[in-house]
Parts: sequence; structure tokens; C-alpha cells
Amino acid sequence: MSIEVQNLTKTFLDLRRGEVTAVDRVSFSCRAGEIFGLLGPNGAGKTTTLRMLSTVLKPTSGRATIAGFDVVRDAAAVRQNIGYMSASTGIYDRMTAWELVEYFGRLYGVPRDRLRERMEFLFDTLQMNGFRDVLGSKMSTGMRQKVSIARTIVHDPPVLIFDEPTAGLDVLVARVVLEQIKSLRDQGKCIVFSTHIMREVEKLCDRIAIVHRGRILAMGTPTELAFEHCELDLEELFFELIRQDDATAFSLENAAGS
Amino acid sequence: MTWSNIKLIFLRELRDQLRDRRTLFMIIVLPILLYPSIGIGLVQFTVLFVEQPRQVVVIGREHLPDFPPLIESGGERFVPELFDVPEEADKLRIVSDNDAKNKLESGDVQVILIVPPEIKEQIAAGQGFRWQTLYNSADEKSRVAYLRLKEALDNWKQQIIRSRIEAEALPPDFANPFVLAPQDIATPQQVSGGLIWAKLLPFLLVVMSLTGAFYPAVDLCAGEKERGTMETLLISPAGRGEIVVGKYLTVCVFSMATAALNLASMAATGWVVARQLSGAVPTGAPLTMLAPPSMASAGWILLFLIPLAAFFSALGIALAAFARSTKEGQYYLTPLFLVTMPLVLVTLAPGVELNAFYSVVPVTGAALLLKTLIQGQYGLALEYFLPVMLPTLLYAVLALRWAIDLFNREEVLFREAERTDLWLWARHLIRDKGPFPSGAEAMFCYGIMLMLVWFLGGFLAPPGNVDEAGRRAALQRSLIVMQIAFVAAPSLIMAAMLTTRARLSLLITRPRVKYLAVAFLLAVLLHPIIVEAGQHIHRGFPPQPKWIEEQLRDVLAGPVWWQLVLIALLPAVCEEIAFRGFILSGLLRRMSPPTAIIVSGFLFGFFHMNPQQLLTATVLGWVLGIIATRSGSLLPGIVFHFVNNSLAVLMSTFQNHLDESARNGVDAGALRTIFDRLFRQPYSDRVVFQVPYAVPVLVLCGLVVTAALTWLIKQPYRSPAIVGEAAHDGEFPDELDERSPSGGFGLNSIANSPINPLAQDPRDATV
Repeated sequence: MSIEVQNLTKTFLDLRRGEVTAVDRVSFSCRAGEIFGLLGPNGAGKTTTLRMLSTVLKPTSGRATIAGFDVVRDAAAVRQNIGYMSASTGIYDRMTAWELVEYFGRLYGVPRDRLRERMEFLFDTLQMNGFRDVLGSKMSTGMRQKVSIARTIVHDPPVLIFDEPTAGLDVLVARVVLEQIKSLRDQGKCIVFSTHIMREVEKLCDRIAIVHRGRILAMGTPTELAFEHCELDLEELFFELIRQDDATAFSLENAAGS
Repeated sequence: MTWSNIKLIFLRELRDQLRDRRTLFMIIVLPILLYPSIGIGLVQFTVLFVEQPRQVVVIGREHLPDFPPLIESGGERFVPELFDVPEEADKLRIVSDNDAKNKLESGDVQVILIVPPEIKEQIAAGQGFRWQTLYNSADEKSRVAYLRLKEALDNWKQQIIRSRIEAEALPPDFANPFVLAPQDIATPQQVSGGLIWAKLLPFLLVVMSLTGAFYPAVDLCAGEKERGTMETLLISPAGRGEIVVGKYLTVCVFSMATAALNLASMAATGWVVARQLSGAVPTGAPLTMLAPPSMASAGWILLFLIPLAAFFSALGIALAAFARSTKEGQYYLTPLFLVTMPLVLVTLAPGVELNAFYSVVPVTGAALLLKTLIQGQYGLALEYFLPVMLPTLLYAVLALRWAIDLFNREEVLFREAERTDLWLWARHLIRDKGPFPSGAEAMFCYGIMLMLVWFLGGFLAPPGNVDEAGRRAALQRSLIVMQIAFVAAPSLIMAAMLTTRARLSLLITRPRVKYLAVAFLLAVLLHPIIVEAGQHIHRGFPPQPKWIEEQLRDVLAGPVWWQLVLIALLPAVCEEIAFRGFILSGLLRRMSPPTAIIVSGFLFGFFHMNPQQLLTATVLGWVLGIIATRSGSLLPGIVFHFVNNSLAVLMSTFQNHLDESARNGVDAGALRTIFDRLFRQPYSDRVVFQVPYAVPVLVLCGLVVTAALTWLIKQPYRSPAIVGEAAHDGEFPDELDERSPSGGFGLNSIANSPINPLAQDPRDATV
């Protein structure tokens, strides 16, 4: 098992709303050579969960283990073994593509000669040789995404975490990104992938968890989910689950009195 | 923390900043262009300024005697020989005007000289007379002109005296027994160094390293958050400490570079300007002012760049880490300036010299040391080199640790914009109160206490027009009010309002007897050591003003039991409630126990607002903190505090008794023997706090105190804020002893407590 998450919870304090539970006892696991998808609307808690896995946030309770390391106790070791990419991990404006990937490669401790080889390989595979020496501020969105991907995998981590990697991308660039993710899975990586786009889930994910309001509503392979809820269309299944959950929440609120 | 990661981050940030064109311009090009422009403007200005002569109106010019001559034959200026430097005659121009008085007020003329009509007769008759001159001291020009005129008139007076002496055939130096022939051993460089550069350069250096550190710090921390690259760095294997130190080094480089470039440019400009001005102005006193600083001074400045840059960079990084955008970060510069400026301007005050107290004050110590070096007082500088440098570096390290702590806090790194709503926030404080106060509440309480004492303390002072008994009563009353209302009350009120377990927050629990015994013992045996330390400290500090000693004497009058209540019991209870109760509990929520104890000690020491007491009070605060955290109760601390203060009172009573016996000629007998054994100076009438103890007594006390403190430190923590309220809800929490003792300063026993280690006090999120 490469990722094990047990009852992960994160609560914040909002002055207005009081204590807000962003992630509520989430549990799942992910193996090597598998893409695990977190599917849910905005505000479901996907980003917070993934941030906890990347050790940037600390869980309020619960445990998570990545590649055998606990995210709280062995945070540095966890970071060494993951590649994390999200909308909030940007690239430096005043560094060229090559410099940036090299910088992070060095930070991840890749030895210098290996680093050169690896970077040549990456730049070839991702077709980035055209803009090796372009500054970050002058790149197009597609170039930036590729640089981010290169940065994410430069140290060949066994575990990869992608938080809405195709957000804001056009169809062509998004396709490239998704193909990269698929090939990484084929190389035996353990990948967690969050999105709210149905098509991506259908094409990529081996197993899915549907999240809403910080809780997992359903989890399993697409086939299992279809059987369980008697619904072949993933999209319909998704909306039905969300609707049910909203209804329960609404009636609970009314029963308790606001 | 690995050096390789730090180096990687440092070099990248450095290269990144240097690639920013605007940064390069501000740091390198601007100083090189700016100062020469100012210098050229200054030269033009000064040249113009120098050439304006001042107008003097002489009314009654016709009455002046022909000999000795006052006004030159042309009638335009005074006789040049009357001035020390003859060319100065050109600076005063004599005009005639009918409307002289109004012109004086409006500033058109600077001085009016009214010659009395009978002046010739009065001089001839040897009569003294008053010579009226009118000038305007509020106007700088008029004042200077008057002084020049006075110089000329004084010399004219000497000429008259000389002619009278000649007339009487007396020796020529009859009226002038001697003339002072001063020889100034200072070179012009030393004069200008002492007068100008020693004051100006430390100030400039502080300002430049501060601003040079602050802007890059804001860009590297808050700016990176804004640009969205902070998270990319945070998910890399680099630890938070490595990230902070890497950025810190970059900011240091920029701070030093900014200060060095600015100062070099200023120096070059100053040198050129001095040469230009020397061409325009005749030699004289003003020019020595502009002698450039010696090479040694330049060396010292460059050396001092390092500690100042280190300190300001650390502070800048910490504040910038706190800001969530560059805009917010830049707002923090103003308060930082407002705090730093007085610290550096105080070095310009005449009475301020390098001593033990000032060397530990941040910024002031370094500025004073630099001033001493520039003035060439190397002996003094060497003596205070370490006392200044070590604290400065310590402060830098503390600021860096604070920055690293901020980087570890999610609420700081991922702060989102929130609409401030005071009502909601206040309601949240009260509604969501935890069992113990938060760190911010503790500091707020301390702030309130300070303000109450500063602002309302004045009202408690006795009025000036009462007799001694009345003054004593007023003084005692003010002591009582201060302790109860200003020290204890804020803590009590805040504990009641803001915590659910006020009793535990204030450490009102029953301690085990052994702690009471140890506290008593420590207080008694620590007393001689404190007195001894006090003796040595007094030497390094400015002496306590007389009125404080008199006040103490006043309060010490009256029956012994009342003195004990006033000086020992009341402060013991109130100060313990505040410092070891509320404030320490709050600090313990925010920092590790050793840090909390150290900080509470400093707060306690500073509260006494008395340089002499500051050090002893801080150390006592540490001891009291150790006692409170290990015993989990306020009572041992109160005992310690009470005994410590009582000893001062009792010693005074002891002395008074011996005084009386000596006065009455009675042999004090046994008491006298005790005195001689305890103290190492012969009995005499001294203020009670300064009797030094005998050396064997000190050694014995030192050993026992060390043993007692070591034992105490090894005890497990019992303070409710550390071990949690559950552990304290039994009267004697025996389980605490079965747990492994904390042994030394390091262990955090939160891991052993029944409370979930990951649970956070929800209020921590909003600080």
C-alpha cells in the first residue's frame, strides 16, 4: 500500500460560522500503479485533504501514511517521496524553465549527474526543449503547466498527488497533462487525483471516492459504484448522491432548529 | 537543518532579487545618483547663503567718539581690526533707517545699536553706562549678527581700557592679568569626528540597514505568498527552518549592501562638497566640521554593518512572514521605524554613555558602541564589545526563531482576507473560551498592566503640599492601590471572563508540602546571593535617583507587621497572581515551558521599570517560574516572594535596632555577634539593601541553592496549562509522579497527557 488514510479530519475556525469541518473522517487507500480519484464539487474538501497529504497542513485528527511514513511525524520523509501539483503551486517569474526544474531537482537531493540526465529525458518527453530558456513570466499557460509537471516528477517519486491539474487549461494542453498522468500510472506510480470533471474520472481513474461537505459519500471502482447504486452513468450517480446528501443535511438542520 | 539546502535557497533568492530590474535600480543606481545631486544642490545653496551680510542700524552714530574708532571711515562697516578674523567685518553692514524698530520685527534688519548722546563725556569721565542694543533671538540671523556685534564691541571696550591705562602710565596688561592660550590636542578630524560623525553615522547606519533589510524581506515572504510560489517551496523537502534561514541570508546581504552603498556614496559626495566649499569660504571653524571621518571610522562602520544587518534582517523576516500581502507588509515598516528611531536618537543625548544597562538594549547598545569607536575611545569600546555584540546576536537569533515559528503556523501561512468585525471577534473570545488563557490574552493582560501603571500611576503620587505623615500615608495608599487595582485586578477579571477554568489558570491549587519547603528555603538562601549581585550591578548602572531611596525609607517606617503586609505580602500575592498565574498560563499555551518561563521572567523584570532592579527581578522571575510550573500551584511562589521581600524589611528592622542600641549606648549583645558573622562589612548606617554578606555565607548559600534548583528542575511539570485540566481535577494528581520525570529542560510532557496532542485550542487559529 502506498497511501493509507484513516479518519483524517480537519477543522478550521471561522469567526462567522464558528468551527467549520472541512474534512470529516476521510478514509481511503491507494496502491502503486493505481489512480485514485477524488471527485466532488467545489468546497468539498478535496484540496484540504490533499494538502494534508502533502504535509502542508496538519490534520486535526486521524492518520495518514505515505510510502510508510506518517505525514505528521515524518513530514520531511513524506515530502521527499511525493510529487505535488496544484493550482496554488506556481512557478517563479524570473527563472527559466530549465533553471526551475534544476533548482527543485537539487532541493530534492537528486545527484548532479543523474539530474542532468533526468532533466534531458523529461524535457524531451514533455516536449519542453523549445522553451528551456524562457522566463516564467513570459510563458504561456501550457508551458507553465509542463514546467510544473516536470518539477513534480523530476525526482521520480513513487507517489504523486494532483489537485485539479487541468484547471484553466484548454483542451489540447489538458489532454497532454492527462496522458502524462496515465503514463506515470503505467510506470507503477501511486497517484491521487482530484477533479470535478466527469470525463477525466471516466478515462483515468481506477478507483473513485465521491466527496461532498468534507465526507466521502461513496468509494470504489466505477463498476462497483454502478452496482451498488444501480446507476451506470457516473454523472447521474454523482448528482444523485449529492442530492441525497444535501437533502439529509437540510432536514438535519431543520430538525435541530437553526 | 542541512547547510546545502540553506545554501541552495539563499543563492536562488539572491539571484532572483538581482534579476529584478527595479530592485537593482533602487539599491545600486539610486544612491549613486541621488547623493551627488543633493550634494551639488547643497553647495549652490551654501554659497548663496554665505554671501548675505547682515544689516545693523546704528542710531546716534554722530555721537560716537573718534578714538578709538568703531565705524570705518566709509561708514558701511565696523573697523575690521575689532573682529578676531578681520574678514568678518564684511558680515555686518551698517545701514541707516528711520523705521528701524519695525524693520527689526519684520526681519529686514537684524540688530539696532542705540548710541547714547553723552557717550563721549561718559567715557572721558570714566563712567560706566548701559549701551542699548535691540535684536531678535528667535531669528537665527539676528542672533548671529548680535553675537558678531558683541564681539566687535567687546574688543572696542578693550581698546578704550588700554587707552585709559596708557593715560595713567600703568603697565599695559594692568586690566588683563592673563590671557588664556588654549591648545586643542584634537585634530580637525577628531573634532569633526566627535561632534558630527560620531552622532550622525550610527544614526544613518541604523536607518539604512533597517530599510535595506525590510523591503527585500517583505518581498521574499509576503510577496512570495502573493505570487503563489510559497506552496511550491513548502512541499519540497526543505524544512521550514531551512527556508527561513535561506531567505534571511539573502535579506542580510541586501541590508548590508544597501547600507554600504548609501554610505559610500554619501562619503564620496561629502568629500567633494567639502573641497568645493573650502574654495568658496575662508578658513575657519565651520570647515573643520566637514572634515571627512577617519579611515578607522570607515572600518568600524563596515564592521558594524554585520550585527545591525543581522538584527534588522531577522526582525524584517519575522514581520514579513506575518503579513499576508506586500501591501500589509509595508505597513509594518512604520511601527518598526517608530520603535527604532528613539532607540537610536537616545544616543545623541548628552548624558547617555556606554554602560551595563545600555549595552543590552537592542540598537542603542550597538549605536553607542559605534559612537565610542568613532570618537576613538578604544579602551571603553573593548570593555563593552562583548556585552553589546552578544545580546544583539541573541536578539537576532530570537527573532529568527520567531520567524521559523510563524512559518510553521498554518494560520499565518494561509491567512485569508477577513472582514474585521469587532463584535464577532469579542463574542468569539467569550463564547469559545478555553480552559486556559491564550498567549495573546496573556500579553494583552501585561500590556494593560503596564498602561495602568504608566498612565494612572501619576494620579497616585502624593501631592506636593502635605507634611511628612500625609505623604507617607499617600505613598502607602498608592502602593496598595497599585498592587490590587493595577497588578492583580486585570488578571483576575480576564481570567474570570476569558477562561472556563479560572482557578486553574491562576494556579490556585493545593501544592505538595515539599514545594512549600523548597520555596521557603530557596527564598532565604537566595537572598544573600541577590544582594551580592545587586552590589556589582550597581557599579555598572547609573545610580538610583535619590528620591527613590527616600521613598523606600518612607514606606519602611511604621510597625513591622504593617511593613511586611505592604512590602512583602501584598506584592507577593498580587504579582504572583498576575505573572505566574494568568500570564504564565497563557504563555505556556503558546511556547514550550522553558521558553515561557524565560519570557515571563523578562516581563516580570521589565515591569519593575527600574534599571537596577531589572536584572535581579528577571532572575527571580525565572526562579518563580520554575517553582510555579513544577509545583502547579501559586502558593510556593507566594511563599518565596513573601520571604524574599520580607528579608529586606527584616534586615532594615535589624539595622534600626542596632542603630538604636548604638545611640543609647546599649550593647546589642547577641544581635551584634550575629551581624558580624553574617556580614562582611563593619556595621554602619547604610541603606538596608546594600549590606554585603560574608563570603562563607555566600558560598554555602550558593551550594545549597544550586542543589535545590537542580532538584526542582528535575521535577515533572504540574502546571495545569501544561498537563491539562483533567490531571488536576483530582486534588493530588499522584499519576504525575509515576510518569517519567522531565529531567532537564527539554521534554514536553504534552505527549504524556491524556489530551489529544493534535487538538488545538480553537482560539490559536485567530492570533
